[in-house]
Amino acid sequence: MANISVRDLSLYFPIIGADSQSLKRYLKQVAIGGYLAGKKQHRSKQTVAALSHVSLSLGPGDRLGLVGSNGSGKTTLLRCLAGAYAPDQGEVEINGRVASLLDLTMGIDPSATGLENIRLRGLVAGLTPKEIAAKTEEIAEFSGLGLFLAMPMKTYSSGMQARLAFATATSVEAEILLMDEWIAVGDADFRKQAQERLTSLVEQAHILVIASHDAVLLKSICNKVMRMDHGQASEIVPVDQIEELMARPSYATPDAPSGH
Amino acid sequence: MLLAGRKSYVSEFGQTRRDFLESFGKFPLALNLAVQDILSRYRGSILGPWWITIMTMTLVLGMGIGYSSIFLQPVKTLLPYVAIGLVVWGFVSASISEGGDAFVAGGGMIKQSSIPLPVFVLRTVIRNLINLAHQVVIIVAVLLWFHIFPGMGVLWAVPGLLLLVVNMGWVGLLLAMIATRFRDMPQIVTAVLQLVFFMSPIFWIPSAKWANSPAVMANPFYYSIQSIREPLLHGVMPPQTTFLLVPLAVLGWIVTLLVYNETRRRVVHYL
Repeated sequence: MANISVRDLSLYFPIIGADSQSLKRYLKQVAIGGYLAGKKQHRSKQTVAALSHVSLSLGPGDRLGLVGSNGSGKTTLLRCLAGAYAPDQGEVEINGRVASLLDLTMGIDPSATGLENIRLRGLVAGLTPKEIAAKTEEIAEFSGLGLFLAMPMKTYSSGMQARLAFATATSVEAEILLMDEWIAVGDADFRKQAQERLTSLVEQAHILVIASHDAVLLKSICNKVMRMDHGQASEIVPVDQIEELMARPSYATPDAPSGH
Repeated sequence: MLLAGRKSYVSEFGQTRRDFLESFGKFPLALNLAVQDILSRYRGSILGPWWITIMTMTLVLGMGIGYSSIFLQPVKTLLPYVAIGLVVWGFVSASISEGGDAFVAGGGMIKQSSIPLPVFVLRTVIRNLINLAHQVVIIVAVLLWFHIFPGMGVLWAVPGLLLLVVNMGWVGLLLAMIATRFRDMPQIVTAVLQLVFFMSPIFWIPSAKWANSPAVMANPFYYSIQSIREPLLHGVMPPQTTFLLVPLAVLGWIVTLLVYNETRRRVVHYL
């Protein structure tokens, strides 16, 4: 049974090489971004509270949309779920195979050929060499690149590169799917196939977490939404309340926790 | 998968242990990244990594023949000594200077995925071992040319190499952590390596007068090279080599693991 359980998660980013008291005061007033924490600390220890006290619990069938302004912590939360950031406080517990579609080009080497990149991207995504060998043909076919797969990827047009990256990244069957904005790649023809593939991937996933600014999109694929604001999370509400959730005034409390 | 806030120093060691176990499980990934590094570096070149072999070869010939008159050593003695010294040094200096780059080079993956950090050091070590394998022909050619074969004792070079890889592993990981936080590190390392190269008996044979100097006696670089060179040239493993290199490996790994335990969570923020 796939599930995600985040309990009181806090994450602080150290700020390196940028410290100014006046700048800090200025930044505390801006409307976007996390809270700057850690006053009166050693200059190198100044931190941004990227996430503070986030809790959420998701089970099979949950499709969670994350909304919030730029810098509110949506991507950071997704990266935490992908296992890239270790929490400073709290816990993230994930059961089930995670597929991260946060960056399709992760692990791709432009000077390597298409086939080599399928292998590399697959390994980076956590597949075994055996699993990759079994999927290569299907990926090659879906990408529609044919003989170009034997050519270095830098000789591709950007659209062709995106096709291959998309075909490879979406070939992983996962119980938990993480996305940062809905992915749209390729020409008109490919776009339609890509949408079908992505939709079926989303449908077979037990849990989906997607960050987006597009309320219409979220309404069509999600059943729950959560709003991030200055690194703090709202409660999870049904997707039909998304307008109300997005229209709420900023609820984040300015007494940010002291940094680490 | 359970990711938790740092609870205690001891519980963090459990995480460290898991990072390393997972990294060895991801050996195919490290191997593929390493092979891909070499392929991309030399793509379009006909000889590829054999260019390093040719470069080293010219250096070996230049130093082995040219310096024989300066050092007053017969070519027959100096050239094989220099050949092995330079090939092993090539591995050592590449492991050290590229070790610092391991996390920066893998930054894109570290920031987006749960791939544990030691994978990226493993990738650097494998890459340099592949490059070293290309250079072994120099040693073989020189030994054959000068009819040097000291018997089965040459096999001592295998544990010598293993010990070197173990030592380069911790040096690479330690430098990767430091260099990710302090970006001046690669330049400092390059400068220090230059000094070490000329100060250590790599291409010069220490005379009796020099034998007890710190450049020889307290020089782990010299011992690392000797632990491979002596077996190949004389069929023996110098005992002082193992007495120094084994404790160095143990101590080095202890220090590195302690530092890793402290910084494993922070590396991603420094990228």
